[in-house]
Amino acid sequence: MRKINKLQLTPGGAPEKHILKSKTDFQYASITPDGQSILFELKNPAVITHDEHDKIVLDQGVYVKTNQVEFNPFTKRIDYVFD
Amino acid sequence: MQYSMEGLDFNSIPTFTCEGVEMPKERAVQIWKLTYKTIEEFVKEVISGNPALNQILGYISDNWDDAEEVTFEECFKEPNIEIRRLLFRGIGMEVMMKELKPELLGKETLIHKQIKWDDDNDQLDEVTHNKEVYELYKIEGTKFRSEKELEGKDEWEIRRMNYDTVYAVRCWCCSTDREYWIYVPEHACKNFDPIEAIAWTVRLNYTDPLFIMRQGDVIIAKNSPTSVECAPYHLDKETYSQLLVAAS
Repeated sequence: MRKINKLQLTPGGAPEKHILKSKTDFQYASITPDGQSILFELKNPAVITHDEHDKIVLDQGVYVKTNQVEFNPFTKRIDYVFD
Repeated sequence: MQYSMEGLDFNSIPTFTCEGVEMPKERAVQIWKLTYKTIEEFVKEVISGNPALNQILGYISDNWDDAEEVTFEECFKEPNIEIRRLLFRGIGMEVMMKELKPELLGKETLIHKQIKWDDDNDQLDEVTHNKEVYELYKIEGTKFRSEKELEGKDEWEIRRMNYDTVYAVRCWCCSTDREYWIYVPEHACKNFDPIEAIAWTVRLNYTDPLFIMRQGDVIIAKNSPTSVECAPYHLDKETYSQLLVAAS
């Protein structure tokens, strides 16, 4: 587990997308090989901000971040929805 | 031709930002052409309001005529959901509906709890409810084939070609009101229920979440004391409806 107080929840893209930030450090770790699912533990509240979406506030606890998925009808694979 | 802005060579830049979405510059020109039809209309509607874009107008003008027309198949195959949205919008829903004739399998409104927070990040006492409209569509794979491809084929051959029937949930972002099409597998549509289909798009790998929140395409699930890691599973309609407490 790594410790940090600010984490971009979606890899790549503009830096203002889905930023998880807390006043204190929190632990996190990728739980899937693709890095899309992240487990993190908050000791204090944290906020997820995005330039186009309302914020989400999380109280202390253990959380899993993932992305929506879709079924690609052309490749027959399940892919993450990403923007 | 070389284009420069303070020494910047636009030919060496792989991406442009089109309506806030970064994409290959060739794709951006295709989308602008799809949306505005003529370079004059593009200049009037886009460049006039964004003088900064004048810097790339030369590149766009030079490549406008050569930008290949985007097919329906290409639009549907675009993996980036934001670029797909801009392609669909460029084509226009009216045209898409007329040409592809998607079959509406079901339309439902999901009403879920919506937690909100004040400027100090304290949860507001008043809990509201959010309404999200979902439509479930089926599009026959043959709609992506040209008449030439289908010419001379019997019913059996056409059915064999129809391997890529598309099932998609049409939905609107509650923050931006943008329209999205998210693909789902056939088995998630067996009850013609768009909420059941959209629930399938949430896949977790920890058991017993207390609740989930959604910000755009990002899903946050809070673990409970009994949560343990497990094989990935998709939510069902009931679980999704009960667990979702905030969407933005």
